[in-house]
Amino acid sequence: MKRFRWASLPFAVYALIFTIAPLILIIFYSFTDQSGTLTLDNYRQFFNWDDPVYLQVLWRSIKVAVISTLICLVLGYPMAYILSKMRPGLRDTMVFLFVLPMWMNFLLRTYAWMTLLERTGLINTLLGKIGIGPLDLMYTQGAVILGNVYNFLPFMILPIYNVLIKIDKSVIEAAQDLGGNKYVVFRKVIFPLSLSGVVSGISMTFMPAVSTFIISRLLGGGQQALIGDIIENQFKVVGNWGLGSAMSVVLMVLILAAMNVMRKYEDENAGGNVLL
Amino acid sequence: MSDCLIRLENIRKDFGSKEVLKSINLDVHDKEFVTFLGPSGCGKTTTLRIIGGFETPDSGVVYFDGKAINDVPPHKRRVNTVFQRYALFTHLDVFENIAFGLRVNRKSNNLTEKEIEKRVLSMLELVNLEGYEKRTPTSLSGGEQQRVAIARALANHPQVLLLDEPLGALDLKLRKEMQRELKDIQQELGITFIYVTHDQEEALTMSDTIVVMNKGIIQQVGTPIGIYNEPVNAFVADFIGESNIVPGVIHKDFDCSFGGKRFECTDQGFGKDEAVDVVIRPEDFKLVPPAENLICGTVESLVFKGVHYEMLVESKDGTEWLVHSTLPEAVGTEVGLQVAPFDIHIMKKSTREDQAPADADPESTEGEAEE
Amino acid sequence: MKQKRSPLSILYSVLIFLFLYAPIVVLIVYSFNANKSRGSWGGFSLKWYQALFEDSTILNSLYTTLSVALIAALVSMVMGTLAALGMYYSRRRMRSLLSNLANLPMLNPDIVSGISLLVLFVFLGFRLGYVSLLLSHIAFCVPYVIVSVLPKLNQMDRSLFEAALDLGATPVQAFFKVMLPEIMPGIITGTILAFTMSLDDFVISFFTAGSGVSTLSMTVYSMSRKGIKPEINAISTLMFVVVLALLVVVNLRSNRENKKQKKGVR
Repeated sequence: MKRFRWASLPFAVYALIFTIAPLILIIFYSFTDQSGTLTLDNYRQFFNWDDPVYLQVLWRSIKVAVISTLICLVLGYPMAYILSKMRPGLRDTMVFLFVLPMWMNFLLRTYAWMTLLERTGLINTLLGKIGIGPLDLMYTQGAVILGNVYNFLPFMILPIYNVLIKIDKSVIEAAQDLGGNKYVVFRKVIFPLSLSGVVSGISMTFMPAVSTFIISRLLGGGQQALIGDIIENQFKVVGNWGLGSAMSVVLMVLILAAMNVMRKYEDENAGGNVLL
Repeated sequence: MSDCLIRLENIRKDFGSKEVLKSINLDVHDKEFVTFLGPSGCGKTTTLRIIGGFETPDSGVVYFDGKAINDVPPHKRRVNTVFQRYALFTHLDVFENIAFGLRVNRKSNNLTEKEIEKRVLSMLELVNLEGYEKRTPTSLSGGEQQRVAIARALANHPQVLLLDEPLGALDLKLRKEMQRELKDIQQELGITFIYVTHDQEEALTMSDTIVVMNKGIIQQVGTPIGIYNEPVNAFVADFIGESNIVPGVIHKDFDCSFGGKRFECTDQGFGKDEAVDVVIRPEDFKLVPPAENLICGTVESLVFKGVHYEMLVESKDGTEWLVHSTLPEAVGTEVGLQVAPFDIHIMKKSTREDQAPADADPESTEGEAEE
Repeated sequence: MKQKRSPLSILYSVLIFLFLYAPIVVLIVYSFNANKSRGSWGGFSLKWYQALFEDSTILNSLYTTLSVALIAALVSMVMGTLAALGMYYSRRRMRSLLSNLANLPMLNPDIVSGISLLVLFVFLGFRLGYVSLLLSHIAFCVPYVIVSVLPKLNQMDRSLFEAALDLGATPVQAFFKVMLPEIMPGIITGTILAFTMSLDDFVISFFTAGSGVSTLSMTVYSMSRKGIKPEINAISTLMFVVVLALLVVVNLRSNRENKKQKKGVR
């Protein structure tokens, strides 16, 4: 059936123009200055240790993303475990309910938190009723982390869940049969077997968390700028494409490197089709 | 021969560097039930696919009714196939599956809707599935899906039906039942069936002619009885039922020796003192008290097999003899093995290549190598 | 292994669900609040929905969002299905090359995809606007169709196509009458997925739409930057309901498919 092989051609051409070429352009621009001559200045400016404004932002982005990811893991693993123990019918419904909020435009989800956290918002109103506040909940790093956790928690739960339900029941029974109590069976058998899901979950949470710019913009105000914000800023406001491209390349390399490390531990099935 | 319907002449086929068929020559006659029998990877499925038009031979000619059909595409051959995993169209119901071939050929067969319906219903009757028209293939059991696949392939009134291990996925009881039914259908319709299987019992029960294949070479062509009783080489003997195959020497016509004893036999035409293989079926041994002119040994194991007992008898030189008998002998008993002259089958020593172990290459490489 | 559900795990599930749904519920409730301030409940009202449908900016962006999503989904359907077919019949090396090409937009952070497309359009001297927006959406939608169709092809019995030829169908007939219906569920799921992805996107639109054209999420973004407006609650509610409906359809479909397959195995 070689006659069907040509059918990939339109996609291949399209992807070359609209996926590969743009990335090459970005890399190209990151090595040129405003006048178009080749230079390493953009990277030098970014990695400037004497005036580490950008590095501080990068560091903050990584810190915020790591904290958010860890909170997601701590909250998400038990939930995935509880889900995997449910009877299949109920389980499918519950998983559907977890997926559902992910499909709401994440701009709107973030916006929803604005209405809760602001000074006249629901939380402060309720706190006011019991004589506390109003507190400054918005425009803090905590608010940005909260926004991340809220948006990406399902990305942590689902891959872990997908791996947990695939663990062969007889493996667990064998461990019990050999004398392991509940705690030992979990620590020695279930958790190690679910690690590939944990790894998928971490990469699926960390990646969007480190590159976001809306969550920090809406919930963090101007004060909590992350790498995504300053990239957006370079392109939309400052117009320094060279520097913006260099930042994008750094972000891309950071993510691809993280993915590569993760992929070594990842189960092929864990991350796949998490949305459906 | 005058009624030769399909003739394969010097068919060769490679998949990449793997030689799958090495010069296949075969005549298939009209109204014949032919079975290609052999282990996985022997080339039987490839031969079938060449007849069906799904593979093109690298060299050689396929004749159908005297005309070369190498270049005729599958949809223009008067040959239909029952596929291994049925290949039913799950988006169509049983009726439409069977009507598929009739509908796509409408221009040439000029059938009206009424005639199509009549044909489909008669096909359903043929395979005992009356009333199943509106069912979907996925709601059927394996055996029922099998019947639909057969009805679909027969609806076009082919001259030849090709069946690629059609019963492989069914359980034993259903398989026996379908074997009988297939044979009945073949006789009722009076068309040629070419059947591929690796199950020797299936081949022996159903076929008029068995073609035993191994390593891309036809080993023997013959009737079931002929192949069972007179295997031409050790491979065939071993593949068709369990056998004791031991080295021996034929001194002159009707006189041979093996296992350290001299025997009378019924074979002739070998060279003087030629080294040969001797084949003796386990059920052809009779257990008697030890005697000087017999192969003697000790019963090493005894297993009840339902109809008979299976025993392993080890003779003094360390050879193990497989014996089937309805009368058991206790383990440890000294026995003599008696065999009648016509049950001693003398065969030429086969070359190494022809008798490599049966499971050397999985069948799957056959079908996929071309992708 | 029968596991009894402990009260602790039920409590935990409820808390997590509250966390996930509370903001959405609050948003939806406020969209019916007659009062503009969120501190107090001023009675049930549809006035924010009314205001929504009188706002030409919002209506324009709604039109842009829907038309882009629809066209992008349809183009992706054709291009993605063809691509999956080609990949299925390609040699292993080509197949893995193409599947990497399809995975790239899904792995790349949205912001990088967005700005790189922006850079491409400016580099080519292509004016940013509706067309550039649409081209970008197609670029990230096609992979979703491919990943939905490929598994269907892999599940398909390879003999099906041959069976159709064997019964006398020409290769063209065999494709349209047998293969296409067989992979249709994957095509439909992929297309709905692509549609939803396009509907949901903000980041890539933000960089590739230029200043004249605005999708719904872009409008929401610029509105929310100026402070909270009750109309946004109303749009959020509507978009949530639309996505919910689409998802329910997709899920029911895939459940039915799964059941079918389970039956078939029996």
